[in-house]
Amino acid sequence: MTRVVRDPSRPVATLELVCPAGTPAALRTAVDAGAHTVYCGFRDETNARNFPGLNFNRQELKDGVAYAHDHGADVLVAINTFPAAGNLDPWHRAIDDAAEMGADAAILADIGLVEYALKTHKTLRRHLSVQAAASTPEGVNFYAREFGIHRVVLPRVLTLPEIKELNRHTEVETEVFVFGGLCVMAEGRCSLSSYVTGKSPNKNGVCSPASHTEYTEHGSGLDSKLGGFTINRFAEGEPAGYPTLCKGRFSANDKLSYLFEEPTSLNLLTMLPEVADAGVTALKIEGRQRGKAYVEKVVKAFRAAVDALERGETLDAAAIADLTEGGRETAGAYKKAWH
Amino acid sequence: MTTPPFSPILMGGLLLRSVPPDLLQPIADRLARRLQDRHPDLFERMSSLGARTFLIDVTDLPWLFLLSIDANDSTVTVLRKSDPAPADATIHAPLKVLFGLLDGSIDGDAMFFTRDLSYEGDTEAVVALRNALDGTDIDFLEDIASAFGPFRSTAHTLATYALDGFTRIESDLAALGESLVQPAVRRTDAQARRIDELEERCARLEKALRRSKTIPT
Repeated sequence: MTRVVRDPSRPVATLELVCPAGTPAALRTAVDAGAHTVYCGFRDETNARNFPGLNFNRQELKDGVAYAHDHGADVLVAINTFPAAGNLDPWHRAIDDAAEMGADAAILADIGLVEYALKTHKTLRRHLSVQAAASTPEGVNFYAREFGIHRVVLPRVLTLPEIKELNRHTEVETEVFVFGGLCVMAEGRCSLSSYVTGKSPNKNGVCSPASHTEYTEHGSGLDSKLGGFTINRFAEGEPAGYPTLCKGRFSANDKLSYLFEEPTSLNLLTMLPEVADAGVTALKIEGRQRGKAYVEKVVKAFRAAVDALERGETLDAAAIADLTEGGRETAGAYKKAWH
Repeated sequence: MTTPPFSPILMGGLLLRSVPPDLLQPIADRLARRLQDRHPDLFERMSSLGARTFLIDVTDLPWLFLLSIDANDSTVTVLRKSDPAPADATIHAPLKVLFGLLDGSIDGDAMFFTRDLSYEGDTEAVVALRNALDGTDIDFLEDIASAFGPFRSTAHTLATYALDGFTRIESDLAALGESLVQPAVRRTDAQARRIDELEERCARLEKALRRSKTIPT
């Protein structure tokens, strides 16, 4: 399957860099920094980064699409949460508006919404969100056969050999996360946030909502809480993290440790040759909730890396080390070191 | 609370301790009006939360700034450090970090993760403010200079010179500070290595002890 680009005169990048934009200013920053494609969402529960003060109103998206297209970049609109039965209007309206405003694709998770997009906006590309958790050729090909999806964003639980194998058995474009925060759970199916706060990324578009988090200084340290529960305690000078349950530090068998996952960021910058070899089409940078400075630095570093890769040069990861959560980074499941 | 870094601003702040907040208040009033007039999108992004107050503690200056954000009437009130006002959230950071956040050159999350910025209170309000500021293209130097009214051009020129001078002095102070603390750093590094060795040794001994207890007799 060939990637459908808005401007046929624009060459298709060897690896397409898909970059986050939480605000119109971040969108312009990403485009200026070298993003091939930018993804964003509307300012409501239809997308999985429904944070206060973030996202686009309709006019901002229209202007953002125009800016990106003028500079040769594409815009994808994330409509990747799951609507409740009987309340489909906000999601249908989001798809309709994304199509009307000239977005290059909608990133969808709910199977009913994928069908709605297919039936109502045939020319709008349909990308299957990581929230749909499609991780096998059979699953991906089912979506392609039944709903004509053009691309799948793969869950961050697959190894590179598994991604390569998947790509051998599907014509659907694949997009993989290469930088940013990590989820250890099966995406689109995690309810940890919901257990503690009543709100989840899947239904409300927000994991561990800010309205339920609290940081308290105590002596020389810092406590982070979610829904009134202490999730972590940081010593003086220790890098802090956001209090998501999966990244909490808990005591078990008399030992205090990160039971599920340490506050660590994914960084595949130096593994891009292997990622390319696995046959992926696009590289996704996580972080619509992060600021312009993050967007500019990470996008520039990855664009330079993609360009260097095309020229056959080596890649340097040092440029973005200070932007990682907890000051640490990992290759996650892509380079699986556990069984 | 965030400790202010050793910088020219910290040294200047010590000299400014005797400047009363009342002297700065007219400039703060003009700045608030200008932000409201020039950046309505900032307040529109905050509107879903309703009215919120933020106490901005610039850790290397002797004043606090009480920022009250409302869709129609936002204000900035200058206060003494010894006379804080109640607020929905209090944010502590040195001036350089706050300036970087305002003009978008610094990532707020990264600053928080590394503890260069801290806050107490309403997380949702802080996140919304940070997102709203980051989503707005603010030239804060120009906005502050404009708050000086007819002296805008002079204020802008002086501020630009001050920033250049600050960067030079900061670099000199960093070199001086590095030279002064170098012997202590070497000692600390040596102690850290020794602690690592002892921890490894303890871990090995604990493991050996566990194994010896599980061997059937």
